[in-house]
Amino acid sequence: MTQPPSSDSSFKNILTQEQEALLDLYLQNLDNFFQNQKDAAKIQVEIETLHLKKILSA
Amino acid sequence: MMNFMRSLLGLKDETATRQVVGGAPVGFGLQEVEFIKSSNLRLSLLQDLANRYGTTPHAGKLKQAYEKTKSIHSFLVTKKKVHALEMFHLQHTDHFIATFTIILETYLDHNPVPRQTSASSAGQASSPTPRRVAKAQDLPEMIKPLKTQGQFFHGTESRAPVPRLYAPDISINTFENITFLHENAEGQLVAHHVGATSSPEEKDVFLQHISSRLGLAQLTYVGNAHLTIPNSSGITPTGMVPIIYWEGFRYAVNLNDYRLFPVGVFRK
Repeated sequence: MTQPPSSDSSFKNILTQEQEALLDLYLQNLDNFFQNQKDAAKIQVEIETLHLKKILSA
Repeated sequence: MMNFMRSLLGLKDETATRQVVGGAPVGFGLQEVEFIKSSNLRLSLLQDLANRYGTTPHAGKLKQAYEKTKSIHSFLVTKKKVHALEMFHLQHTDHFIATFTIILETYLDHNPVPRQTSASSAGQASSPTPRRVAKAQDLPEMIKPLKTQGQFFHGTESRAPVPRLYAPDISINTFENITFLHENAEGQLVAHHVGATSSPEEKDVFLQHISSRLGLAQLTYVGNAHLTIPNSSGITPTGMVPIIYWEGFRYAVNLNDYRLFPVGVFRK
């Protein structure tokens, strides 16, 4: 019933393995999201450039 | 704030001017400003959460989550994709904060950690921390109906009404700050502010203040709420009231007389 002296309890693992895996997955997810946003911005630039080219060559 | 209320109530037609075409360099509309504000709030909540994981092995990853979220935030804001920003937070950040807050709080409920930062001269964990909230399921019900019927009646007339206590659901106001007076080292009263967006240091001052008045340890600051709360003087003023979390439940604190009123949090 009595708690052991909490000398190192603040450095214990709070997360279970599954929760830790979830955290990793979330970080990866953030990276993917960011990469997708950057890619989308690049594609936007390409589309706009193409569009302007079309207008000028018409 | 007023404008925001008006836009909520539809009193102000600002949708017509808000159409941003193809990322043209137009200023942000009202709704965009609100989105950015709430996004900033989520960032600070996320930072708080990362700080709360400060002494655990997971602190680094929580910090990474904050940093990554922050860079996505700045990217989307500079690209003026404010709507995408809001969607991103709704689909990611909100769930993340909710999940990892619950994980931490559940852990703390089962493994109380003494606050190392508080400078109180409490005896070094000599007395075991009282477990107010019993997690055991097999305890008998402690609130029992009356056994003697006679006490119900005043003479032969009607039944005296039984006072009913309840914990109302409140919602946290994320914009308003509360001012309170706290003694500094020299014993002088200094005004401090605290709100959902306050820095961890400000929140810590508030918690130390409350701990010094109530003698309770292991408090967490939840936020402020707009409430009508009883004073010991008999008046019941309406205003911003701090909400604290202690041993599994939330309480509104009346800063006049430091009485606690249990509350629940309204969930959308």
